[in-house]
Amino acid sequence: MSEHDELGELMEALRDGTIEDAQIARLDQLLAESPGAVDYFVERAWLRSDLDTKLGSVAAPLLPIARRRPSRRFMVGLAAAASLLAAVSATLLLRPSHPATLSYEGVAVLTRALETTWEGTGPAVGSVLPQGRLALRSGLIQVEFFSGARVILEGPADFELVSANEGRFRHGRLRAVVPPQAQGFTVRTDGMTVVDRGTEFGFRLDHAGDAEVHVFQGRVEIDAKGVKTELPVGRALRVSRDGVAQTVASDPEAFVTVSDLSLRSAEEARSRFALWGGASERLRQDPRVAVYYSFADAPDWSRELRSQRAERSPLDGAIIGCRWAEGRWSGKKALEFKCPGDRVRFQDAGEYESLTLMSWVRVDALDRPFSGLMLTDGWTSGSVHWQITQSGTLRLGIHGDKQYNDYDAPAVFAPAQLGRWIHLCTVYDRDAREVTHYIDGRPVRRLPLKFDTQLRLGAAELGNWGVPMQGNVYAVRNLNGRMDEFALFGKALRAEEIAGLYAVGAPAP
Amino acid sequence: MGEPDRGEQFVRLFLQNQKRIYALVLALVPRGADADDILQETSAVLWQKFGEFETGTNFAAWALRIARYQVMAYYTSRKRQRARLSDETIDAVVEKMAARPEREEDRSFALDGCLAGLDRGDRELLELRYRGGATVGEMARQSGKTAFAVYKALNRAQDRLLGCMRGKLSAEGAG
Repeated sequence: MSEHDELGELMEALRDGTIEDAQIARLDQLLAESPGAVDYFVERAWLRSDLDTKLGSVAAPLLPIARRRPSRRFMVGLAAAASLLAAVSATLLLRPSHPATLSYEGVAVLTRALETTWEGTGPAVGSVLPQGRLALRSGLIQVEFFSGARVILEGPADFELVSANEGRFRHGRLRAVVPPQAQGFTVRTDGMTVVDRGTEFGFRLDHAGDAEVHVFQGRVEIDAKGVKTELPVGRALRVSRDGVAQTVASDPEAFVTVSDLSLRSAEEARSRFALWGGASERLRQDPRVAVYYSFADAPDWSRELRSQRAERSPLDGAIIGCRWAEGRWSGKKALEFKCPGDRVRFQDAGEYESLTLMSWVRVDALDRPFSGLMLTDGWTSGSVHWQITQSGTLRLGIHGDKQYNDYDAPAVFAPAQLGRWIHLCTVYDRDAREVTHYIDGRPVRRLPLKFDTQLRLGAAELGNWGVPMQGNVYAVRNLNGRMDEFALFGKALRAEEIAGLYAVGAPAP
Repeated sequence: MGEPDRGEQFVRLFLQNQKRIYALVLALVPRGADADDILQETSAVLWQKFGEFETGTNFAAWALRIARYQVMAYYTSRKRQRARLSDETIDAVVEKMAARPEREEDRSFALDGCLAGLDRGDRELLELRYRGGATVGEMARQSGKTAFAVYKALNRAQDRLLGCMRGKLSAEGAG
């Protein structure tokens, strides 16, 4: 039995974060007074780090990745460094920090929404939909089931997602397009079960219980209160609330088609894009704007991201690595960040008492410890680091004089939210002494300032972190996704203004 | 021509010492996101300041000083828990940690042997804690033992490993 039992126990409690203040005081006392305690502490800490690397539940410190400065000497050095890195990491040092598989709950994806209003808050386009009800007051949506079946729902409608290939219909109007892979797609109501056999069909159901099923392609099997019917193409079955059934000709015009919806969505997108264009122009003129990129009007070959200023200035961003891609709407430009080197650099962003950071981004993956949104070079007094952590929290890191703090919003990026356009806004308000994070125009977390400091922006990057270099080793911090609008205001914006910025820029209502 | 590329030099020194940095930070900060952040910040700052590091001086001591600064900044930034280890204690730990001469290959080999020699209960306990990342509370709930018993068992298993490793490393060192 060890003479250091108490010391060991305190070390384990510290590791778990369950150690109490009094226990820390006791640990300090033991280390200061008990002979051999520091030796044992260090030896056991070392053993734990051996066990962590060997058994592998926690990563070793991350090595920044070497890149850039293409001199010959560097290339030789890089090759040697890379082979050394490969040799060592292959053995034990660079294990992933979270070995568990990421997961999410879902049965379908919401792929379109047109002029929708919902009972309560509805899902955003691009969201993964878990099991549950879609209560649509008005408008049109397109839902793609994981099985491959596609459903267009016309509001008012009440449709419940039961599984990846089944729904429960309470009322409304829907069109289902079922590819061969999704054969067997089933829609149930109180009295009926409609099973698809590789087709396209329409289904109307009113509150009273009168139903109509129209077959446009292939065939469907209908079980209406125990009476089984197989309905061929071109036919429709009317079933009254008391079960009286009647076959008539089907009417494809009565249900919105996928191509109708697609055309109408494109029209809607054009009008929203135009609406945003006007707002963007007003934002460009806003005297509070310190840096603004609309990501519009840039030719594909351009490697320069023009700021709000009419003349060229250091605020214009230099595009490094990123590719031009499609933004929130067809025809709207965005920059895509994918590779570790991808970044946009700008300079002379100024010094501020308070500031507001705003961006429209589409985060495709959180596959690194930090995904950069906007980070000032380095990490010293006055630095501002706006980024997303791997656990999906939106973080504003502020470095003051000899201290720093991370102001974290709750986890906003669940896996099911990746891949959709999202409006992020963070306000650092020195007068009100608080930081507020907004997601899609709504405040999600308000935090008191831990200390007072002047913010110094200077040189900064979008989508990455540039450390002032004597050399060329960087931490991997690039965003994996797209950005199509960015604004930095030298003032704290009010909640209503942020809600307005979101509303006028939302890709769909 | 003479001086090897700074990048290469940094990578080599960093890899030689990253286990040391890890051991220090994880001895002073609970396992989790904060510790991960401190480790990442430390590696970034090390590189950033590598220009100030004089070749030929003690990289381990220099790196641990920077890691120590990051840990202190974390202590300052955190509001819930005011108590922390005193500067003197932390300095003593940093000094000892920097002074340990370790040969990674030897340790890894010795640890394999010693883990294999543990009895099954001890091994499973360590698997649960280090591979599974379980806290003492979770381990107690899972096994139906008291937290006190789990602490005791963890102490015993790790002390056995330490004893075994001391033996192996000193024997091989002597040979």
